Amino acid sequence: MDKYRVLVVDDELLIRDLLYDFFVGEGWDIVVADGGQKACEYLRNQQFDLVLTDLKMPDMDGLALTGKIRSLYPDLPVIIMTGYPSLDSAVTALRSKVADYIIKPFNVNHLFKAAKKAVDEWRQTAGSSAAH
Amino acid sequence: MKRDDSIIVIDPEEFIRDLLGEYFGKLGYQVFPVADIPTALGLITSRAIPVALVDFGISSGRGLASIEQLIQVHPDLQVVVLTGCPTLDSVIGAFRVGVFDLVIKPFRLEDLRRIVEKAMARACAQAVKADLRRRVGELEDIIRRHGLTPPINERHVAEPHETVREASE
Repeated sequence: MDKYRVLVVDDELLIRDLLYDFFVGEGWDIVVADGGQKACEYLRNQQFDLVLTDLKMPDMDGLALTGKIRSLYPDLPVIIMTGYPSLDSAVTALRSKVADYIIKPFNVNHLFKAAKKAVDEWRQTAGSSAAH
Repeated sequence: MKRDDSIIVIDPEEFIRDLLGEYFGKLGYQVFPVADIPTALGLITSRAIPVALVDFGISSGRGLASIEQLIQVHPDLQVVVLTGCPTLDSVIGAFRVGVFDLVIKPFRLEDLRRIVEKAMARACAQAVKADLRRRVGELEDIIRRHGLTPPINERHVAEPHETVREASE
């Protein structure tokens, strides 16, 4: 089985570093981006099993990025992370078919569990049919 | 819309069941109004219903657990939750268990109709996908059993070369 490959998008260096160390420690491949534009560039040129994105970022918010991801890869799992949760953004995220909506500060083990669940399910369904 | 598309309305309030039953019935859907989850579970199985409209207040405040049960038993069912008092936790919980959409009361019936149409389209797409996956699996079994993999691959690769050769001649 290939290594799981995740793209982390967050304008906070601390979060990028934290998740980089944790996911590498778990044996995942990880690419980090400091904003939505950079993330789009990576998504156009590389393949990922999951995108973990912050909600509020200066250049592009996580929901706009999710919209762009949906146009490129309709079934790719996306998890939203936010320190500013709201009913509106949660409902919009739900409608964008994100795999989860995680409120900061989060327990990194809980986030990892959600990430693994999303990728496992994706590989079982969309991933396996794409392979055919 | 196909005339045999069906919806189950799961709501403890008779007024809502009647309202939605009448509205979607007039649109040509077959509507099954029920007041509780146990009744719904049996009906979804026997009628192969693709879409459920579920009140979040079902099962005396254990709405999310009941909805999760519904989705676990019928993973292909597209569940649209109707709620009058949404909270962040209930919304996050709803999509963690895999609901298709969540509609906040009061809502316009026209808006709900659009969501139901999307849910029907998704149910249909998932059914087609599942059928294709099953057929591919069956074909792969046949190919494996008869050791046919190399000839099929060779033929698949050879065709473009033959075309190129013919074109250049």
